[in-house]
Amino acid sequence: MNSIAVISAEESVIDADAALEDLYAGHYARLVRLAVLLLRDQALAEDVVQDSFVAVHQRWRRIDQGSAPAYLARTVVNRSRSALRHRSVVARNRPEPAPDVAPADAPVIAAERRGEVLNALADLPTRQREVLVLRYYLDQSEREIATTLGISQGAVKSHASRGAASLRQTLSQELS
Amino acid sequence: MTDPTNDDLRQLFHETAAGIRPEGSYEEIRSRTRKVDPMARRWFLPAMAAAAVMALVVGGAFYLALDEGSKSGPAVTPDPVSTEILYAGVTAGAKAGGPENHSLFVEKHEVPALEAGKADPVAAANLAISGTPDDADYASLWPAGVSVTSAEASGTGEDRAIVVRLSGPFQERPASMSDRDQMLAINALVRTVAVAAGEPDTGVRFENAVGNGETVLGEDTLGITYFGQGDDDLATRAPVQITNLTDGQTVPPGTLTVKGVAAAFEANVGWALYVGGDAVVQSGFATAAECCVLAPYSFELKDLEPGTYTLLVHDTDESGEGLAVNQDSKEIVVQ
Repeated sequence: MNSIAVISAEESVIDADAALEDLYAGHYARLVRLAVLLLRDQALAEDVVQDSFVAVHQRWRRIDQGSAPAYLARTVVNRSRSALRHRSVVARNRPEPAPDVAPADAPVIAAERRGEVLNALADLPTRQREVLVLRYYLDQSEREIATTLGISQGAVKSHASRGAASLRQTLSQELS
Repeated sequence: MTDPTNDDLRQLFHETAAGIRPEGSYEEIRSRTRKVDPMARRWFLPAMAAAAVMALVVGGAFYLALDEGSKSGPAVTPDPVSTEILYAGVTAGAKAGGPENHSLFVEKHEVPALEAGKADPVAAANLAISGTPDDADYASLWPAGVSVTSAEASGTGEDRAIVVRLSGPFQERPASMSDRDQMLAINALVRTVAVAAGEPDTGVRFENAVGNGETVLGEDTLGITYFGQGDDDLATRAPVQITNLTDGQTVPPGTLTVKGVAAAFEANVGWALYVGGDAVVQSGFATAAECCVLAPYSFELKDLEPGTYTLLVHDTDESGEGLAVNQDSKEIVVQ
C-alpha cells in the first residue's frame, strides 16, 4: 500500500512540474502585467505572481486542472488584493513610491503615460480597479469576472460603469 | 464581450501593459517548489508509515507500562493562559459607515495552554467563534455550528503563516450578514488566532478541511493571507473601550480606577455612573493620551457605596453634525 501511495505522489509531482512549465510559458508575463495594473509596483507584482505559481503547484492535485489558467488568474487577483491590504497596514500614511515599471530605454513620454494610467488605477476603489483590469486587459466577460471575483454580474456592471467614468475623468488627456 | 464604446480604454490598458517588462524566471519558481517536493515526498510517506508503526509500538509499550502500576504522578497540565478574544459590539453608525454599526471589542479570557505560558490558538479561536463574552453587549458574528479544528504556524520570514482549518457551515455567508459584519467576523478570528499563537504580526490563511470550496463566510479566501488588525486600526476596533473591568464585576467600596482606550475628538472621553437605570450619581471627563487614535485613558470613581451601578464611557459629538456617540458600558457591583 505504501509503494502505491509513493508512486501516486511521484506521478502527481511530475504532472505538476510539467504543468507548471506550460503555465509559466503561456501565462507568466501576462499575469505579471495584470498584477502591475492592480498593484502599481512591479517587484511586488512579480512576487505575487511567483507565489501564485508556487501555490498552484502545491495544490495541483486538488484543483480543476482543466481550468488552471483561470484558477491562476483568480489567485493572482486575490493575492494582489491581500498584498494591498497588508501594505496598507504596514505602510499607512507613507507616501507611495513612484511606479517603477518603465524600462531604461523606454521613451519618456510613454513612461509618463504609463505612470498616469497606473496612478489613476491605484486611486480607484479595489473592486472597480479589479473589474476594469479583468475586463479591459484580460478581456474577460462579465460572467467570467463575476466568477473570478466571486461577485454578482450586476455588481460587475456597477463597478465597471463607475470605474470607467472615474478613469475617463482622470485620464481625459490620455483618452483624447 | 462587445463593448465598442470603451475600446479606447481597452487600447490604453493594453498599451500600458505592453510597456511592462516582466522579470523572474521559471527556474526561480521551480527552486521554490523543490523546497517542498519532490524529494521530500519520496521518503515522506514510507517514513510516515514507519513512524506510525513505531508510535504504535512505543505508545503501546508506554501504555502497558502505565497500566502496570507506574502511576506515580499525574501528567502536569500547564496553567491556563489569558489571551485576547475579539467580539463584536454596537458602536455609532455614522462613524463606522452608515447603518452597519458593529466594531470589535477585546476581552481577556483564559484558555488551555499548549505548554507553560503558551495559549492554545484553537481554543482561543473557538471562544471567538462560539464562546460567550463576559459583556452581554458583545457577541460573535459567526453562524452557529462553525468551529476551528486546527491552527498551525509554518514557514519562515515572509512565507510564515498560520493555517486555520474550519468545520461546520463556514463557507456560506448568512443572508442577514452585512459586508462589514463579514469583514469583522474574519478579522476577529484572524486577530484572536494570531495573538493566541504569540505571533500577532503573522498572517493567517484558511484551508478547508473538506470539499473543494475556497470560501469563508462567502469571501473568496483562495490565496489570501489575512493580517489581524491591531489596536491602531479604527476601521475594525471600537472607538471607546473599557479594558480593566468585566461586565458584572464585583469591586469593594471606595475608589475604583477605570482604564480603557479611546479614539476621541480632542481626546475627550466622557463618563457617567448610573444607578437604577437612569439616575446619574457621578460623571466627568477624562483625557486620552492622544487624540484621534486608540490611546489609553483612566479616571477614578470615588466614594463608591454598596450597590449595583452601570458605568458608561463615551466619546463626544463635537462636530455639530449630529454624529452618533460611541460608547462602552459595564455593570459594576459594589459590595
